[in-house]
Amino acid sequence: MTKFSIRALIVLAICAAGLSGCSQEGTLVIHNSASTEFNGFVDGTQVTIDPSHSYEATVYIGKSLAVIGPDHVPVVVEGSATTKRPFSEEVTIKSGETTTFQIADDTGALIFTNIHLRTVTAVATRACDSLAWGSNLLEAGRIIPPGSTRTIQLGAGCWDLKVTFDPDELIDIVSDIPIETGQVIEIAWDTTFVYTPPPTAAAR
Amino acid sequence: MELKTFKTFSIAGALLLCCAVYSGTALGQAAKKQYVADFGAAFTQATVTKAQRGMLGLDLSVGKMFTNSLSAGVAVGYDIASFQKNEGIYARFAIVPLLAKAKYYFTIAPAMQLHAIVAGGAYQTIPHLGTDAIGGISKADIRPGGSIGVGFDWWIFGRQGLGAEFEYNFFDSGAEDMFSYFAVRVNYSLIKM
Repeated sequence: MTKFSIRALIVLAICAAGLSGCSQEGTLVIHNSASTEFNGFVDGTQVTIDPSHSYEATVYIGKSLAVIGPDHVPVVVEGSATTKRPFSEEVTIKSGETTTFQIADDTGALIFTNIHLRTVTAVATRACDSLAWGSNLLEAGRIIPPGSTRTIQLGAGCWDLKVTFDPDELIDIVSDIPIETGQVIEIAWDTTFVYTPPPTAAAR
Repeated sequence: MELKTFKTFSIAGALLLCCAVYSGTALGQAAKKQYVADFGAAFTQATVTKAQRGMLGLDLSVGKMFTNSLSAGVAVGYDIASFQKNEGIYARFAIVPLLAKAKYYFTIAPAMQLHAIVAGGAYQTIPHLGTDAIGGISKADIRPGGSIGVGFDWWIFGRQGLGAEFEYNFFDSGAEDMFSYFAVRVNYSLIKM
């Protein structure tokens, strides 16, 4: 009987020692397939990922006991890039596995620099084959002072640009700007600006 | 913290010693109409998301034997199921179970029994955490839950016994999954005639 008790205690001690070490972890790889730098947060940690680069993190899931306990945990990935609209997504990380999250372009962008002497108060767009202008793309209360730059995200397509500037709400229209997903077009705007497509490889 | 832990163990040790001194001895195990008190010290570990390593639990249960095999009573404890020292801060998740507990004994030898536990009641959560919630819980609350367990008792001193048990506790976390933790416990038991 004494031997049985000792054996039972030993078994319990071994079980206790084994059970106390059941940490669950998974790996999260975020690959930036977008053509521009990603800035955001991964599980509350601020990250910056260059184009074609990856960020890798070990994610602690929790403790488990055999089949009892967590084998996955949700992680929030949020942020944006010049050619990726702001997003917030939940990614499930599984124990012992590597989960890859791809950041892909979903928009194009204009990098608009005001080289005019007056302040730009609004920027609106319309599709090249449309007559109706969209709403102001600058955030409420935001302007583009002389010398400043704003990034304006635009979906793939052909766009006309309407620039409104101080002090008399003068308007300038730049027509026929073709843009593709992932493409970034830099515009140094003044009232004489005319968009000229960059030469294609064949033309060069 | 270490001083507090030492004091806790000292008090628990003194209590057990007093119990040992003032209890008589008799053969065998608890019988019908007797009372059994279990004083337990456990390793307690939460098995939920973001749980850190487990720590100490102190528990007391008292039950009345309704038959020679079945007892029912109450149990209370203080279980630290997750503990982490981080830059001088002790993040810990404590749980106070208050349970109605039934225990069924299987006699395998004159002074040796196995037992199975079923319990139900309330769990008071006491989180002292950093930024991460543990098992979806970040606030003190009272939650319904229960436990199941198995163990053995060795009535080595007649009316006093030593034992060990494994108890799995679970309760509603208010989140998607149940909160759960287990306790691997060593018990000192007393039979009151």
